Amino acid sequence: MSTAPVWKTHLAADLAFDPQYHQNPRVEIASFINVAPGVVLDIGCGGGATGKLIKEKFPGTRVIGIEMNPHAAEYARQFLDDVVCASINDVDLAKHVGAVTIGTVLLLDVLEHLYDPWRALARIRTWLATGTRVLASVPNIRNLANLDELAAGQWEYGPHGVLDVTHVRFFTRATLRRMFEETGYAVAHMEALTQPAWIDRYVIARRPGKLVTRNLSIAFRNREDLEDLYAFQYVVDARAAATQDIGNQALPHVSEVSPIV
Amino acid sequence: MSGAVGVPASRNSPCPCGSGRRYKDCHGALGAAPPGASARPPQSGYRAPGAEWANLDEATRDLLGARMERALSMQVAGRVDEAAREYRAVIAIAPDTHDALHMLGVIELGRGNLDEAERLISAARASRPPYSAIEHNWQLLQDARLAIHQALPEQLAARALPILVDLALAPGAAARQGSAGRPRTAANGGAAVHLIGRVHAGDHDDGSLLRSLADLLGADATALWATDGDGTETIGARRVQRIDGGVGATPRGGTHVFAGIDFDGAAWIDRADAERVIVFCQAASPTRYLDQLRAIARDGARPVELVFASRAMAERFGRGHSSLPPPLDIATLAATVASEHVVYDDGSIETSPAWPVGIIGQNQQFLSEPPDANFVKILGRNTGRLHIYDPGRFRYVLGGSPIARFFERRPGGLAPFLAQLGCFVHRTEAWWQESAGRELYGAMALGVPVLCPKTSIHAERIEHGVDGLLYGSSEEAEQHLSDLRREPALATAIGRAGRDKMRALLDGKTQSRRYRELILGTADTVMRSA
Repeated sequence: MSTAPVWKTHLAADLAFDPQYHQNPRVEIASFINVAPGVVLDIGCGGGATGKLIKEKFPGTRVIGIEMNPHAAEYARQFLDDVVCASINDVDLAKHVGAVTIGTVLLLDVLEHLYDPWRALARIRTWLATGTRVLASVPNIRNLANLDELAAGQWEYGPHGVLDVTHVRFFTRATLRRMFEETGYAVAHMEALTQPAWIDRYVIARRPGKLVTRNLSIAFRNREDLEDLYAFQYVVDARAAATQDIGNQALPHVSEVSPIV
Repeated sequence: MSGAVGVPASRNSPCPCGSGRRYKDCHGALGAAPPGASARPPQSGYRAPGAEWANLDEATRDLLGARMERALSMQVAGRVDEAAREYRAVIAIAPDTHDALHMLGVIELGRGNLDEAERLISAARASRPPYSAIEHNWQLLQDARLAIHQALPEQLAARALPILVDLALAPGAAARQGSAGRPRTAANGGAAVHLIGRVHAGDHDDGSLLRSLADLLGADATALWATDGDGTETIGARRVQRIDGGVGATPRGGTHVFAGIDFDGAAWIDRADAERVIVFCQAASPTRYLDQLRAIARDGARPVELVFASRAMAERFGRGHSSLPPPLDIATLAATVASEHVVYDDGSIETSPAWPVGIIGQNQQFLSEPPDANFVKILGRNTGRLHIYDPGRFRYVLGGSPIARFFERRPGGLAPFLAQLGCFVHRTEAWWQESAGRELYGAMALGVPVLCPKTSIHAERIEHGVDGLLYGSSEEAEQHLSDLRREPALATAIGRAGRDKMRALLDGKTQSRRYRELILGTADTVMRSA
């Protein structure tokens, strides 16, 4: 293979704006917004495509974006009301956009890029009134394609997907829920976003309660379990919980390492 | 070719005849004549009719019968390459085997080898009077030629079903197989009625079945068994035992009632020794679980009775199967609605002043692309508001649409979803994937006017223009929707009639009586209720 490995091509400090990566509107995420969402804070807004879609679905919605890639942030400015170009670890919301009541926070494919997503979630929680909605999408490491390849000794990072080379944290349905619950949120709903065409390529036989791939045979207990095996992502629909002491809770001390630089 | 079957090293090894059974349960069964002896009962259920196998000896017929059974089950399981090999082997010995020619033709059609498919299917057609399955496949072949359109292999595999079910599962098949049977009695430490299912299956069609049946049967279900859970679960005040083949904790004797078969029963199911077996197929079409059904039917001691959600569905699986409307607790449904929609009362969805048209997104086929996205878009076009429950892949198709609202599946979420609709539209793509109808019947029970496809397995429960509307095309559906919307009196009348019909059909007492009759009654009662 003559292609350069992804760690050479996709981990550069000065990332160019890749329209494919940053400009893809998340139509399926818009489907989770079924009532006027209030002021939307889109953390990791990329080129602003999803915010633009939400403004079309609910005209008059104010969308504030946060994006660390300066090229993407610049592009997003033409669609969104405010765009802050900063890392989530550095942004001071009050300083950048003034006093604002956030109605809905979007964290679309963001948390898995952070070295300390727990601290980021706890920090975001301090910006929110109790009951504020948080919609996050996070890859599912327990998808069948991944399990099959791991069983065969493979864990191949790529330019995108569940094993995007810029991902530094990996979650399952259970651990994702726990992360939100430990950082000041109540999880109202979790939904598996499935990609049947992708997973079906790995399935060589189906039995009642069981799927068989080239490298493993795995039992599932019920439909939710089966959905998990087919899910490349989860959408977490959470609310800022009424926990008073979350801000005072001693968070585990970790050094602030930016994964990308 | 000799039909003699050798003796394997272990009695637990697969029988060399290829039946898939263990040697000890097949040619090595106690009481079975030794291999090669002439006076033994036939060991495979399949026999080509008429003159097709007239010149073969009984041993060869047995061998070919076993190959045919194996091929059909592989084909239905989607293992078409292996199935094709088996059919070819049969044709090599008996070139006139109609079913082998037909089914191999179907496989070639699925692969896009249209010339080979035509050669095979036309040879098959020449040897028997026309019947619907083969004519349909012939038509598909012609369509494929015209449109270079290849029908899904899955659809084609499903056409093999009537043949397979007839030979393996239909009442009477056991007698034909000539097994000596094994005497069992309920007095043998076992209960009279064992109810078997999953206790942690969520609120999907199959998930609700065990609990519903336990409620409907009451104390007449003498033992409750789960294939999941840890054995500490209860339904009402009654404990649900965990089936564990490893330690012999399996139902014994009596009537085994399977609330669906979507579970892994490999460790015990072929050792379950019921006198009578009833499988509820209301939630999931047996097309997906034929291997499991065959395992249940394996020892040939008794027929397997299948129960479907509608007569139209039952008839596709041969004669003598029963149909009952899915267990649906309309009292609870109405109570959930009366509790003022608490399920979605968390600000995530607006209450709509419009006249929303509602559909279910995923039905039974949650892992597929919506094939009828255009139809669904049409539904929303003239009504202004489209509500989708359990949307699945519809999130990708319509997520950005200003008129679409998405209701995620939540426990107890169906009733409040249905109750706020102006009209509910039932959709079908393929009969073997259609839902048990709980959503359709639930909407009717709540007084919501419904549209149902004429081809639906549930159409038989709707009187067009009286308690629902039937549609044959998307244009027709669109017309019905605009009629209902333009004439509120019509919508109200249809909603009311539907509600009355469902109240009569799904009334708790009536349902309980029907289910008990079917499960506790004699075979005669069963046939009457069919």
